[in-house]
Amino acid sequence: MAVAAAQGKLIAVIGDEDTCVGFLLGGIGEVNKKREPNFLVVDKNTSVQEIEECYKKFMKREDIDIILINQNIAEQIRHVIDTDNDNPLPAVLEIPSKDHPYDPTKDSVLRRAKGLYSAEDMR
Amino acid sequence: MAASIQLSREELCDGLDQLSLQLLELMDHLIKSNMCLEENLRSGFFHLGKTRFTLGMNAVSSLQLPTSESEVKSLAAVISTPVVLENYSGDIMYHTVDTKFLDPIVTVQDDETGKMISLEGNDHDNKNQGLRKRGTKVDGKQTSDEVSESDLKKGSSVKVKPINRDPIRWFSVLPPQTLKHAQQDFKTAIQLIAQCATTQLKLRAVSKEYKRLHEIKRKLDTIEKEA
Repeated sequence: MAVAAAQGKLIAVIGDEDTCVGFLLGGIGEVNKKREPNFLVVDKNTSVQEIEECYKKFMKREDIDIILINQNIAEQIRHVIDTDNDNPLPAVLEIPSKDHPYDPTKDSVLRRAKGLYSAEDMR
Repeated sequence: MAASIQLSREELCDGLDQLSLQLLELMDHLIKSNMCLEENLRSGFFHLGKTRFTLGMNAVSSLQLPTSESEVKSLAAVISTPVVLENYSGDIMYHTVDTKFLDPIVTVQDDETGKMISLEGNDHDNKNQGLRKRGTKVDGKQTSDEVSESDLKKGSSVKVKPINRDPIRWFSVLPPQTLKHAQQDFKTAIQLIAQCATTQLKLRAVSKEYKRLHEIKRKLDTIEKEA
């Protein structure tokens, strides 16, 4: 465990072709000894079930500290992302894709933070 | 009893105020970081598109990505360190995330001499030394440095397996400049992602504490109303 911490942990990515190609070009790609990749290329044939399973698998993996997911794909599995997770790591970051710019109003963390303020508190 | 409740209530309210300000600042910072990330990604996508224009549509696609049959090691790692939240009296912990890029060129142990040999001719010092000493040959004799270098190049006595792990090689043996630019953009994006992750983890820690204090305040309010 200490060795893994010293070596650093992985960044996983769930995204469209360009996002995956780009980040793997940057050097985050890994296929470990168990033949498990740390990325999932989502295309029109990828089902929501597959995305959900992959996301859950990444969340369980101890060698992953950050999960990147395209915001438009995150919208498809919002019910899973929004489930309250007590563990701070892995951090789930919603990133823009080529066709869908970043929308802060859809971001899970920002929405949760905004939800802390209610009209009653401001009285 | 009333005084102690009053005191703790003031402390609570101060704490909530501090946390509220931090929350707003962090939200703002997170949005700005995400915008910056978006700009970098957009530039990266643009350069990928330009590379496709040069090399062809299928030259830069998911077809070049490693499959589950091949074993690939990551060249970018993130290191998370737990730290205590500053500008707040309570002990709140959150993680800061840093990125570390590994050298794509691997060095392997030489079996016979025990020397570390750098692969892919990246050992600039040795090369430069050889060049610098090219005039020192006297009557066709080689210096000891050059002899050892030439032996290494022959590969007769040294077993060296060259490995270049740079992902740019998946796409082209001679990568165009646009692909290199795209790689640089995505590397910068990875660094920005570490910043975003740190801000997000801080935001989560602060909102958790805010929630906790808010709950305590609500309980105090109900006690006061009953009294």
